[in-house]
Amino acid sequence: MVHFEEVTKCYQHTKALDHVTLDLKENKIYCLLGRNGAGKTTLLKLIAGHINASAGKVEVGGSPVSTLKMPECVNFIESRATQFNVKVERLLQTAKELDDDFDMAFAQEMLQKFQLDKKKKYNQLSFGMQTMLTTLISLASNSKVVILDEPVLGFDAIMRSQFYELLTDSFENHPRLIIVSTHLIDEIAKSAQELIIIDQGKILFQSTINDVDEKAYSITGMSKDLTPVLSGLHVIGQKTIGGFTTAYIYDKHIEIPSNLTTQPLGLQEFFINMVGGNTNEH
Amino acid sequence: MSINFNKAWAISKINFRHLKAAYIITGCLLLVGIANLILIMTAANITNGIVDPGNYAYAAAIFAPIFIPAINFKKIMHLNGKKTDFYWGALFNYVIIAAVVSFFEILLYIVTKNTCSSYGHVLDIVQAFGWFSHGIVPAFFQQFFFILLLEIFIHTLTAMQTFWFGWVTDVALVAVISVFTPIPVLRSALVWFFYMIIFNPTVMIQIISCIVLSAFLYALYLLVLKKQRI
Amino acid sequence: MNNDKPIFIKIMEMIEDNILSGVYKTDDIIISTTQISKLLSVNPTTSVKAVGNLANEGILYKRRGIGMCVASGAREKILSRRKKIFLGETVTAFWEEAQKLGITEDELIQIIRRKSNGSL
Repeated sequence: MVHFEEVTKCYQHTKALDHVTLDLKENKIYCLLGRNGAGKTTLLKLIAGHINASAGKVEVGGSPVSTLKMPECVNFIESRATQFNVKVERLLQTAKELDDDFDMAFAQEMLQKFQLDKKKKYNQLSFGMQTMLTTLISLASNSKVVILDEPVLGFDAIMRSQFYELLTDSFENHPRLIIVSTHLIDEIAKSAQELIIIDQGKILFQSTINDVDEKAYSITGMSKDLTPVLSGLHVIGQKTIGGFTTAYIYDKHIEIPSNLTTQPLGLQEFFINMVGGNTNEH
Repeated sequence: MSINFNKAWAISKINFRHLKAAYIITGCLLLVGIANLILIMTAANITNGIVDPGNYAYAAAIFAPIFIPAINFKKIMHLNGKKTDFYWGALFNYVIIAAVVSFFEILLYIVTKNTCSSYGHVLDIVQAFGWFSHGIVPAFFQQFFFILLLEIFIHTLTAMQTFWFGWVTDVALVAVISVFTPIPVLRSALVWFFYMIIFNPTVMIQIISCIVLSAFLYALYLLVLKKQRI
Repeated sequence: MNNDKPIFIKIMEMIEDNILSGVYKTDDIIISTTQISKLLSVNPTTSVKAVGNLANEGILYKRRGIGMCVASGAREKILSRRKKIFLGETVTAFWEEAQKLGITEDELIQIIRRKSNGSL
């Protein structure tokens, strides 16, 4: 559905994306992770046709994407976007006018669930509620590709948990390609199915969350006991403190000798190690 | 580029709903203009020039093409509107506004002339441009196409402001007016330009000049739209 | 099996294992709780709890201003504690699982014999 081939995007002197090749074929919830400035937003804007690539091909649904022919099937609204300052219900109606496939029933249901006052004007809503509304409009669009950029910015814990429910419900009712970009890594792990890690303009990792669940773990022990065990394993990070070493692994599980301790690696820690958080600590 | 009439029209409607500022400005000016008229009539003031309030209707044709690209555009994009639909939708807006403004302008002129001409000379844009010389109906159309050109010009210029070439154009326009005017050869070029789009005694030539320039400018806007980042 | 234990138990076992294997000898200073937290990416209160438990059992003692050290007789204490757990929980679990799977007492003895002479 979404296809990037050797895509590069330059902004003045920086390369936001560097020869990125990416293929998203199935209807799944993809989680896009990356540090600030890694190229996440650039990637998403390219899919939506909000900007043009400097080099390479960007295709959605088989057709090339450009800033004039913004793909019909992609819905991307940045959560911090300005909206018409009208009543919430009016805003939803306007969204319906612009898009026949807008699922008004779903939108209304979600308004109720989140206790969003329909009669309030957009500017009267709190920042969190504004973000929620924009996200809701995106999800209700039923477009084949939905992009959510930092959808839970400013949400309290309860709203976040409700959002993840909303996301999974929406996906169950209308399976499609949903890409979520967020910094709240461990939380999205419960809803997303596939993980894409981007770092410094390059795709560092792409696989299923299940894969990470099964293959990401850490081994801790006395440094000398650990070294022989690590040979042949894909080590993504290491920490040595006080004579002990913790090695972070992304590989099949192996038999651990009893003098070593092993722990499963959460998605956030996996991510931190993948982007080089623990390669230099001694 | 195909036109999706439904979507384009949906955007036009949305634009009309969100031009409060333009409506207010125009409304205020009209009220002021009409109040002025009433003042003149009741006070039986003989003055040199009475401004036809119809002129103020132009405010709508000036402010709408500023607010539509400057404010409404991105908000429509934020609700998943498509650029192509916006392109045509805005054009529909301008056609309708041009028709309405032209109509009311002439209507108010006629009313003003019939009620106030005894108090002084009525100042009116259509009169000044000489469009009444062929009758009211041709005047309506001449004004309509001129207003449309004006709107498209303002719209395109506003849309360009976020780019470097927008500012370059601003400077260039100011330069053209200030530099061309004193120099006789260039001044006659300028005069010819306005002759074609406004003062030409042949109605069809004036109208066609406006249409050609409008088409050119709106095609230029297409290029700007292509470049527009959201 | 290693994955199911609470982290503070894993920390305790890690320290105990290194005492048993002789890496930490009596009166040696062990890794600090801050270092443990960093090493295992856990909350410092968890490492403090683990080390505290070991101190309560007399396996570690505190030297003011220096850190936690291995107490004398720590080895024996660890061995006896673990033997108790082995005989209590581990053997019981082993027996019950064998029962569940329908493995007889004779089969179990065979298994232990074979494990002992290296053929399993």
